[in-house]
Amino acid sequence: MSTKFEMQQLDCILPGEEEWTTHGRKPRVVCLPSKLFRCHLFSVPGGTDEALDGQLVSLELERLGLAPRHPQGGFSFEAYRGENGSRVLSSVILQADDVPEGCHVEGLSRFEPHALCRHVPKGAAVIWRELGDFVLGASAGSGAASYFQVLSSRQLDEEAGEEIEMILRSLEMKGLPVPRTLLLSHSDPEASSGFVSRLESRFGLGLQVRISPDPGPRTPLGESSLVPANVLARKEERSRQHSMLRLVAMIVALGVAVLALNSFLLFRKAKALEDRRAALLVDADLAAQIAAAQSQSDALEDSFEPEQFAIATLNRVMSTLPPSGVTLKEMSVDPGRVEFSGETVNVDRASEIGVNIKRIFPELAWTFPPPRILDNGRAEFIAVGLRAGEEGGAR
Amino acid sequence: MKPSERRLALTFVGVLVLGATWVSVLKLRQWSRKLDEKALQVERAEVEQEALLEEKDFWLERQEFLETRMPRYAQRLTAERELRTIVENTARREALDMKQPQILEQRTTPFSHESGLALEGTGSFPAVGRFLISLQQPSEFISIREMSLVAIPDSPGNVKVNLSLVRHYRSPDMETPEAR
Repeated sequence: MSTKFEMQQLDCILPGEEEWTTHGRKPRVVCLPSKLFRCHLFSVPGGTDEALDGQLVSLELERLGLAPRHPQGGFSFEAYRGENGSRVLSSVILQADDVPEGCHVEGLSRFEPHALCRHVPKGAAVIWRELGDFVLGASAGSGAASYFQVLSSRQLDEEAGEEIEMILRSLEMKGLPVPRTLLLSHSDPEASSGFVSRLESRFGLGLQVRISPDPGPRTPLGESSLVPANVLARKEERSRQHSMLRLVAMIVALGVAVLALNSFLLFRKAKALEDRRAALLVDADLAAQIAAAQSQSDALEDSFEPEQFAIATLNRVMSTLPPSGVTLKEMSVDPGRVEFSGETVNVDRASEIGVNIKRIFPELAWTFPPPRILDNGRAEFIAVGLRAGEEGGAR
Repeated sequence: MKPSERRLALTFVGVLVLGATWVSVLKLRQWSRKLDEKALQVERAEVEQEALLEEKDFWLERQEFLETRMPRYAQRLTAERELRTIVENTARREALDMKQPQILEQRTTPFSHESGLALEGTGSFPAVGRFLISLQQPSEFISIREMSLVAIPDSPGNVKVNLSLVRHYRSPDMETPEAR
């Protein structure tokens, strides 16, 4: 992670002096308090391959028992040029599983250490307050804190000065140059004279202590991966819920689309049907006239259509009879029925009639009982043909 | 909103959406079924109309023939007398021995007035055939509703014929709109 600063004010939620505060109109970053992190410095000799820095930091943290508490939270580090060509590796390790109480991070996805969002001038150390704690940040020259630590002191007195002196001396031993100035956030309570004299003493560090206005949080370049595990878990849970919601919404949208498409198709079908009905109405009068003419013609057909005349039926009956050896005794015709009977010289002639009637009167359903053989050897027959829908047999 | 409240709200919305979808599907199916029925009716009407229009000339020619050639109905007695005259003259011409015809009750159908007779006669089979041919000419509009022919055993070659016939008349109020 780079600690270089974009000179841009950060809209964020940050740990204020006593409580969480919101900076800017639309917060999009959560600045996590320094007490959730552990900052560690160590130097590596010059000539070591810089590509191995990440592995070196990881090994060093593992050796010291400072390995990240969860793999996803991870750590970040930054390399600085030290004395004699050596490099100082500053690493930040997340030591908490969750954000402190009172920090509402719903809907926010970017998390940064608060110390890395503060401006620390080159060659200076800065003290600020976070949720009641004093935090010391020191810079190696990039404008951001290369090292930060929460002070155990609750007020800036001689004891606090001693603690700061100890911290800065240890940083010097690790290759970080001792700052010349100590800046106090202007809203901090006035430091005690013991505190100032301790740090300004020429037997001590010889720091110049002064009060500096707080420049406000700045956006660090790049995004850290230092996100508390519980926040990650909640984000994943939300993500799962959102995925489920998206899936449900997609199914609903698909269903609505199918319904809408179906409705549209049915609407088109109904419209096409209306058009067809309208087209039917154009010729409806003519069709009704033709239908009336058809009905009239059908009703009167047997009075003017020669094929329907009684003589035509009689002719057809006669044509069912064999040329000789048959006597027609009786015949009757009415609109639904044709019946005739007679005698033939033998059964074969009678059976011939039974075959002929079905060929010559295919429109009738025929009943042709087996001919009755008379005493004189002749055969008596009767044939009854009914039109569809008529009932009855031989009278 | 608490997670439990959110779940409840989502469940409620889900039930609403499902219910609305179900009702919509039912309504669409009902609409579709009605449209199918209407489509079937329209298709049937189209087929019928198409068939009628294809035979337009045939049926309108027949209608015109009926309008122009069917005898006009004047009075009941006139119609009966005309029919009786036709029958008796035809029978006389074919030498049929005919009994007094019985007048049938007149009927009115949507297409014609019907004046009818029931008659019985005897004659040779050929004469009866000629009688039927002469009687039922297309220009006379006579329908033979019932006919029976029975051979006379005592008189070979002769048959007894029973007929029930009607003659169709057209009255002025039955004219088609086009004829009017």
